[in-house]
Amino acid sequence: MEDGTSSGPRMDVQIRSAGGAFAKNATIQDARNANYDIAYAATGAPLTNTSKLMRRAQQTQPPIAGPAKADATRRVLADAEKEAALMLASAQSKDVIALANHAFALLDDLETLWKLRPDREEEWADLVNLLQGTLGDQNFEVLTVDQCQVLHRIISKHLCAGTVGIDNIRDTVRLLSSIGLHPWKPISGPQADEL
Amino acid sequence: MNSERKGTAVFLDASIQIARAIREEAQRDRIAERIRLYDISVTSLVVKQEFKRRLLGDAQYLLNLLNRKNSYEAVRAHVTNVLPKQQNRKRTICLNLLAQAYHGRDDADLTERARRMLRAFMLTALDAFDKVGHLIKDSGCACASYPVTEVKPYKRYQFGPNKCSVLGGVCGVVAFLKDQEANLSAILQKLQGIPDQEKSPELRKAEDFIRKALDDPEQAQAEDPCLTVGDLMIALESVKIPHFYTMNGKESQHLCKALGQTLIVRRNNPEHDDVVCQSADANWPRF
Repeated sequence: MEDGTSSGPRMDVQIRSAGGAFAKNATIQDARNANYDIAYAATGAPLTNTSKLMRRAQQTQPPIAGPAKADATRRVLADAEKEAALMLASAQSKDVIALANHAFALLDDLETLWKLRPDREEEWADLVNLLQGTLGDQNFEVLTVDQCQVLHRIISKHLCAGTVGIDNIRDTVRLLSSIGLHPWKPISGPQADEL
Repeated sequence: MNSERKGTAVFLDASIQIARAIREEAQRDRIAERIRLYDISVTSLVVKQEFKRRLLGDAQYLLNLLNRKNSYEAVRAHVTNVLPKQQNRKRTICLNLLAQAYHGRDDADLTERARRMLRAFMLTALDAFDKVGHLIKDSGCACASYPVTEVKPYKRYQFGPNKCSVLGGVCGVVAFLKDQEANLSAILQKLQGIPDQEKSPELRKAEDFIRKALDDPEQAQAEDPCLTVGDLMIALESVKIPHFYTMNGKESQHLCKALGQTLIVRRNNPEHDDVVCQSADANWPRF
């Protein structure tokens, strides 16, 4: 037809797993796509699979991240692991100022990782959230060698794991509790007396 | 704190287990201080079931509110202004400090963090029962063996049954009660000696239940004892442990006296010392 649209019957097109492919924002393409049942963002934003994701209980599948985002996450994870290792070294050499500074750097890495959470599985974001909540108002100068050792272990073994599931969360909670850090601090508090 | 003769074991009531999970640091420290005086800490199946029902039930409630209101601040306002005062005081989880833990965030960020935290909590909090020295399983409470199952992330959770009556032969409560005849009689005698106006609703229910259970223990399961007279069931589970640690002295003062236990009450204010009621003392303070 003259305006570029089809006069034929509406066609249902299988939604592809686009994995972040981009669709060019062309008016002809827009008009053509009005006749197709397809996930399309006219602004040229990435195509995403809009079918309902059937999530396995207790472990979600990570979204498909572009290579740049995946690389960014990897670099920040590596830095977080490095800062945790430096915290341990500082605690061992009793340099509390250095310990605190590396801990602040780790917190900063956790904040960056939090912003990158759309590209990872839910449990990974839960883990970042847990760590931020536990360390958020912690006085870093008083962290012991044991505590730093466990924090390093959590970062390297769990946060840096390929895929994080509920068992990683479970072990992290256990480890944090074992060193006197309270994983549920954000939802803990005093209780009013009974009437 | 007064020094205590060191015993071998202390029984941790549901209120103590809940406080160890989500009370403020000062209170958790006081509890840890008390537990350190003993060789082992002990808890039980009905305590685990109460923990699941009360604490994880609270978590589920808050998660449901967050899903509905999609706002951490709105949920805080809701539990303060809409929930009846008595219910609000009974709540276990406190969301008020979340903003402090994650300083300088906006409501959308805090909402997401609260949801994530509550979800992780529901899925892992029962692990705490693996860390207690010993779990008494004499009651055969089958409800306690059901884990929390996530049916739909953040939306639907199953805690398993909470009524003895739906579990048929899987629940061991009838056999347990038959075995506890002497203790049930001792408790009944104690309760009958309390003036009616001084009996809490829970103690009245316990008294009623004991009469029925002594008369016909086979019918006890139909009464859903773990749900309806949980304090009594926990007292019976704890009977072999000389020291009973709780935050709730109101019912425990009578139950522990009847069973010849020493009662230790952790006060709600962590600045206050535990109140210790020795089994050998004739007179105890009133709670």
